[in-house]
Amino acid sequence: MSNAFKRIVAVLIACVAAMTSVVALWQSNATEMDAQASRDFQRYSLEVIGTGVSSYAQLGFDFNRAYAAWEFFNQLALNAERAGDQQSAARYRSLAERMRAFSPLLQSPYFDQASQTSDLTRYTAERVLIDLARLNELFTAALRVREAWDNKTSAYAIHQTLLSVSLFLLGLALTLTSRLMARLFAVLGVIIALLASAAALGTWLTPVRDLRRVPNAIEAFVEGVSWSVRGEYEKAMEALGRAIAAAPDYTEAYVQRAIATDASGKPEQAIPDYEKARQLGSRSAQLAGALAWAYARTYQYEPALRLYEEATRIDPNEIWAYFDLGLVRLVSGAPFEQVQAAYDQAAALAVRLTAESRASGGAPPSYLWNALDDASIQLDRVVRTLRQGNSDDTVFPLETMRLTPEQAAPIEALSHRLKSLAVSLEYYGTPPAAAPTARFGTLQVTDSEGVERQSFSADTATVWLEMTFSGARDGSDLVIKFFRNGVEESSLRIFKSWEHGIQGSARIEIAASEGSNVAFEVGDYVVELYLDGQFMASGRFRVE
Amino acid sequence: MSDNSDQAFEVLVAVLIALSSLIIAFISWRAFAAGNASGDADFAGMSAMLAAEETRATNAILAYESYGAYLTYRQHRELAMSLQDALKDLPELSLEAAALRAQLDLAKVTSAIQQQRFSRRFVQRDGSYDIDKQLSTLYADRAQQRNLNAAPSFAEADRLRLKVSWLQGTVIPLTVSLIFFTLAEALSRRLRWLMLSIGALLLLGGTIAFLYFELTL
Repeated sequence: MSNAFKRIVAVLIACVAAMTSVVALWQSNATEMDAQASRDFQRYSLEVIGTGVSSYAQLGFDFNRAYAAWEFFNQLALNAERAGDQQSAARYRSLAERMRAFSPLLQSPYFDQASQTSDLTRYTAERVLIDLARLNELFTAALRVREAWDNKTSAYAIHQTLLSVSLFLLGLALTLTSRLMARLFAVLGVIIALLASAAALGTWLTPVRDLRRVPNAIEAFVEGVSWSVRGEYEKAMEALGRAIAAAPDYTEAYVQRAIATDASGKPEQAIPDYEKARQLGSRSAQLAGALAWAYARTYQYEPALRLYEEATRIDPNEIWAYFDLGLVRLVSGAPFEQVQAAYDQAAALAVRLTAESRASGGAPPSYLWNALDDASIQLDRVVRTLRQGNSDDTVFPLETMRLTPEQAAPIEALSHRLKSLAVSLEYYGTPPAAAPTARFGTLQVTDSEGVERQSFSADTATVWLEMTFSGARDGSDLVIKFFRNGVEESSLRIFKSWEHGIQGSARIEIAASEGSNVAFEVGDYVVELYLDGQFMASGRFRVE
Repeated sequence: MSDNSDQAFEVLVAVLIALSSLIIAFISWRAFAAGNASGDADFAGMSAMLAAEETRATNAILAYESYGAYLTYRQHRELAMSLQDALKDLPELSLEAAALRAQLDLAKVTSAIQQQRFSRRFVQRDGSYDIDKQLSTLYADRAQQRNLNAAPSFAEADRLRLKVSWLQGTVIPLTVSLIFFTLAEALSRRLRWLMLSIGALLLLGGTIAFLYFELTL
């Protein structure tokens, strides 16, 4: 082996060794940055807990103590007025006024003097959610920075390994007697070193995106979320637009802007933002589902079905994805067996998740019952649209559904099955055992005189449910659920024993607040009656 | 003569390589120590932060419970005062007066019970309850027992992390000096002194930079 060759190899070894130490330096630096980002995201997570607990402690006081005290005196005043005792009424009103000093919730700008109501949503958004949303974004940003530095550290480890291999090959080239082999090893070593160095340099030059360092991005995002929570969707879209302008790859800002746009009644305009978020790499089942729902509500059923199927693949435990898939299959005119199959999958999932939760000694999550309720409410809307035409709460207008009124009956039966499953799983942890033996007629909502009413005035404190029935059994579990504007009013839920005999008619008194004359809140109500976890009858009324 | 000079040159290069390697090892040790200290400072900061957030959460629950008790006390005390006023205008033996007296008793008992559940220290002259003062006092009490201030520890950790970065940066010229020393040995006589000089300059520069960052950061 010539001395010149040896000298060249020696210089190459020195160069590769120097490069190895530079890569080690970059790796060490990346490790330090990784540690700093880790610390930051731990800090934010602690702050989220501290801020969350403190804020909710204050919110609990504001709503459950101060607001309740104000309501207490106002209710006494109302009672006194109804009894014609104006002097007492004035006294109680004065005491209610004094209670307002105890909480900002009862003061301007959250309290409206004219309507005598507090804007709890705005109060919660401004006092609690803004701080939590900001900390959450900082937390997510720090987590992403940590991931980026972590990836760099791993990449440098590979580069260092390759440089070590290169050093080994160059060293071997010095010891080999065969000139050909020696040169081959040297060339191979140089090639590996060059590739590893180029890759390391590429990694070093790749910037680490830190959203926290982008001026106004997180601030505008938080402002947008706050407006969105308060239902001010135009302002939310404008603020989120500013966040996107500051950081054009701010995925969550696209998602939130899409949600605000969607909520403002423009699902077709929300689609590009949802799509953009997916392009930026967000592949959650929730995002696929939100986009699918936007497509479904603009009657683009093909992409909606594809996305719901994708959502079930991303997370097979997302029960709502199966329900929505079934619903879109239904309104798009798919064979009923396919519709049924999706609902069956969801029902089986609900049963399995409930059984697993109970087996592990825990309580099943309430989202299971809520998802079952939502699914049956959607089916009920389809049935109502098929039978009575479009109404205020129609999601899929009659002209867009590929269904006929004759198909309403099996859809209604499917809805009843879901309702029974929800109550049975919630109270007993198992699906309903067998077909119900009891039969109930229509549930009528009546006033104190027994006159059936569709609507009641805003000061109504009590309504009566009247029904005919047969095959009932005293001692059975009676559950009555109330939904106001499509959401269950769990404060009105009744769970007690059936004591009205085997057959005949019954009249059940329902008070908005037992033992008082507090009125029902204004809204559209649906009442559902269950015996031993089986759906029996439902009725509707409006308080206006 | 030439052989002697070559030998002396080789010895000089060997000494410089050894010196450069030693300094690199020393800097690496100092950087490691600073990195370690930075980790410790981060840990201390996180402990303080955990204690501070725990304190904030616990205090908020305690303070708002007290404030709630005060509110209920005031609610029923004012109700009682109002009922007492109303009773003055009613005949003592009337049914209405009897009903009001029952309400009055209930209001008095409730306010009396709640009165024991808050500290009057935070009740102001105008009858308002200074919740912020209570929260600050509780926090200050806790700060007497535990470090709740994470900021100095985090600042120290960041300073040390910066030091680590700079110390590691000074290793680069020293490492490159090793290449030049190797080249000085490998290249022709004409270039070797140039290589040696560049190597020596890098060694000197790197060492001065190390001393500067070690002593100032």
